[in-house]
Amino acid sequence: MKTVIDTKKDNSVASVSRDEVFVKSAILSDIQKEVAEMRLCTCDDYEVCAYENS
Amino acid sequence: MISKILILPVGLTCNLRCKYCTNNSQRNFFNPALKVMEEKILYRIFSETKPLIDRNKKLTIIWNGGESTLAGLDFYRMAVELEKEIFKNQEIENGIQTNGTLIDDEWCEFFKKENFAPSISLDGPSWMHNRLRVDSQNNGTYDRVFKSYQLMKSYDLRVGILGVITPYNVDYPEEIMNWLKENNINNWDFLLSFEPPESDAGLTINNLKATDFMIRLFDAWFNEDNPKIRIRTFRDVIRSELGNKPTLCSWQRGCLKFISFDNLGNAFLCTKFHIYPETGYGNILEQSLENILSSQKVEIINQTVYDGQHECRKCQWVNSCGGGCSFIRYALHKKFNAPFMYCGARKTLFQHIRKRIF
Repeated sequence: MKTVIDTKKDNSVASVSRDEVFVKSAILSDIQKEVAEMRLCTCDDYEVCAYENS
Repeated sequence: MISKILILPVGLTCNLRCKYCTNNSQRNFFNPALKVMEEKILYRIFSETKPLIDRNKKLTIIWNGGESTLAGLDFYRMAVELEKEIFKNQEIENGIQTNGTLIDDEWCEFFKKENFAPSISLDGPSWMHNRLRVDSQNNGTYDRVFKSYQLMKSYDLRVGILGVITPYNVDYPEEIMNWLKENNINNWDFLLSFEPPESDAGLTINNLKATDFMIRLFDAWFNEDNPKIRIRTFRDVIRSELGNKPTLCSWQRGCLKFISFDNLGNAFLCTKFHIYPETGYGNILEQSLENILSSQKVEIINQTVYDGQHECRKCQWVNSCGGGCSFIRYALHKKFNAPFMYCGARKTLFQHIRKRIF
């Protein structure tokens, strides 16, 4: 399913599909996967410690 | 609800003399006699925070400082036993921030056995790191710290690195990216150096420099396109651009979910505030945590932290930014509701990232 992201708020670029965004780079694909896994997560990290949250 | 307990088991005591350390901002906090937190204080902290924690969520306890490892391994062995006794059945994760100079095999074995996630302080390659992160003899600490990092990796620990961006490394984001690549560093994040007005070492990064650094580092990282190299702040911004929410405290109005205790049982908003005793909530040996948190002083601090982001709530980037770090607001202006000094830098970063990813 394609979800349209409205990025017109600052007139930077036109709307694009989420799927198109993720195929652009390995980093974005990786974050997409993480976002999907974390969708219900309410994690919060403390910025004065860069421990890797499991 | 409290989501994280932050603990300074030796207070602000440290074995290094990093030149940008806010703990040393004309307050002479560097050389108090080492006093490790007593078991009775830790017991009190755990037992009194227990009712304030969501039993259905993982509890994270972060050990910080000063230098957290000065407390010694026996302290942490005791702490883990107390955690198990008091929080029974609760999923617990321990994070520990350390300068790395005291880490050896015994520490690594302990971290591995108890599933501690360490974070070590490294500001980039040796010529960047050694300029400001020095020991009491004014010697650079890079070699010792990097050796500790490699040792921890050899134990397959989930180790992250936290670096401070100062006037000495802010112009070299590409070199930092190369250093991450060359050394297989896969979990890094940065903090921007700033100085409170009572200090005058010239170590503050202004908005212009902060913007330039973040955008150049983002581009170097994004162009590399290697998901194994994680820069936490950038991943967080992208996550929020993709509709999720940021995880970092200063990017999500998160400080009110934490509570920090020093070795004497004094409670604060977060670890950074311990250098300003006037911001203390109270002492857990003198009154119950429930009383501390319901006090008028805590109510005023919490309300002021919240009100401080009033202007931010009108900003189009508020869901990605959260309004910035309360400590920086306080340190610079002695008010919780002062403007956030890196507001402009963050806005430019958001615009840049949005253009790069969409």
